[in-house]
Amino acid sequence: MNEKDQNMDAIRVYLRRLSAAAFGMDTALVHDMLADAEEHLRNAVRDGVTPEAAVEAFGNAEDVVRAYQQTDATEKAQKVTPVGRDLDWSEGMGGGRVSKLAAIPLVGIWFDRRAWGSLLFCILGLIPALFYFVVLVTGISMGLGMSVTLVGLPLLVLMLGAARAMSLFHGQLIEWLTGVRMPRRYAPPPARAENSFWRRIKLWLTDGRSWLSAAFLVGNLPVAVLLFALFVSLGSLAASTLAVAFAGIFSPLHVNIDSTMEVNLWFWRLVPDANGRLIIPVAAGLWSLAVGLAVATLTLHLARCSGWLYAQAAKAIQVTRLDGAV
Amino acid sequence: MLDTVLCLVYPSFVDIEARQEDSTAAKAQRDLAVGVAWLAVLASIGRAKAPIHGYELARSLSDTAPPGVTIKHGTLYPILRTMEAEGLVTSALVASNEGPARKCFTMTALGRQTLQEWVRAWERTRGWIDGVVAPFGTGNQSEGTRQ
Repeated sequence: MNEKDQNMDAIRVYLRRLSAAAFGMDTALVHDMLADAEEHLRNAVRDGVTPEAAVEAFGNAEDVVRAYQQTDATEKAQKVTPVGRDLDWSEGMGGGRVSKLAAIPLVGIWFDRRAWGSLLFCILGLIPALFYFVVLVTGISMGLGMSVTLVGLPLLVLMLGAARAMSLFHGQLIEWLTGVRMPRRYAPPPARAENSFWRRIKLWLTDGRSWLSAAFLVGNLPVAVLLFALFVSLGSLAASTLAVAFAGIFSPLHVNIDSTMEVNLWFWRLVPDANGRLIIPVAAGLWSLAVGLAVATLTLHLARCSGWLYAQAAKAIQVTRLDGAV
Repeated sequence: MLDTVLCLVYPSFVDIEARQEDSTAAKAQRDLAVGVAWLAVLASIGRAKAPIHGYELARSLSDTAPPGVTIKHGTLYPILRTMEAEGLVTSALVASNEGPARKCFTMTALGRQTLQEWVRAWERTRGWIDGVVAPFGTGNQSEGTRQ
């Protein structure tokens, strides 16, 4: 084992200690902490400091973990705002302060911007998902196809780097919209000072984390399609039911239809008048309002739940360490 | 929020080598260092001519720390995260010829404005304290003792 490998081993031992001290902490925060520590220690060793001295200067694992925990706890404490105070939307739909009205059982979901953020994510998440899929599938296919030439392997590396960047961006999008804490930085990429160009290419191509990021982004498309279909359907159902309710209650419109057609609306059979106008009774409108609100509330709950589950799965994939560091 | 975080985190940011001796002077030194360390971090980022990475920042703070004060490098990063979240600094991965890309920090316009406010607050405090402790300074030992 050469000196460089011994240095890396010493760093790995410290990272394991740090990881053990962080037991029970949010995994995204642990991921960021380990990435900060790894980059710092690698820079120190590269600067000629011995790994032992670098680790000692970094501080003992418990102190470092405590510092991260305190920062995170303060961030979380800032996210609850008293009722009536303005919300700062610039902090993100899910990442900023959460109104206490959101704690009201069942209907509080209407005041929970994480639910609205999740709904937006479930519907609009298809756009970035499609972009990731097209870029990665095209790029990786081209890279593999041209791997016999000089251009192919660098193109593959470029795609893997892009996969890491897009994965990080996607994580930030998830955190911004759903409020679930996601990793905020990369794990240090696989490269060492003494490596030649081709050796670095080899390190990238054998880096499991980059391939995992690419696989996550490609596999994300079917999930995004499913979420899109589900929530567009539910949203349309709620919107159309509420539209019928408004037509019945406020009677702004009389629906013109074929005079021979009868329409069944809930428990009411609607028969057009002589002029072919269909008038929705107020009772049917009130019933539609109740159903529409129930569907909309259910949709918001389901969106919040789906957003949270999606975020947890994405986080689990993003924080997985395949390099054996911890 | 930044103030709250700084108050919580900074006690672990600096350490005093003489802590074990339970010296009053060492404790005073530590408290002073804890109180102004945030200023040193932001000012160090602001002073850097190019984006500065965490290790370089920690080394620069360690090199300029008063005798007896040890900077714990690992606790610098949560502070940088908070400063970044508050918009005082921004970070970007900067490619390095010597190895993997490094996360480097740059001060933002908001950070510069905040630093100026902090420096003014520091100068007011320093002026006040200088006035109060002047009779007890190194050059006025006998006068202070007489009083």
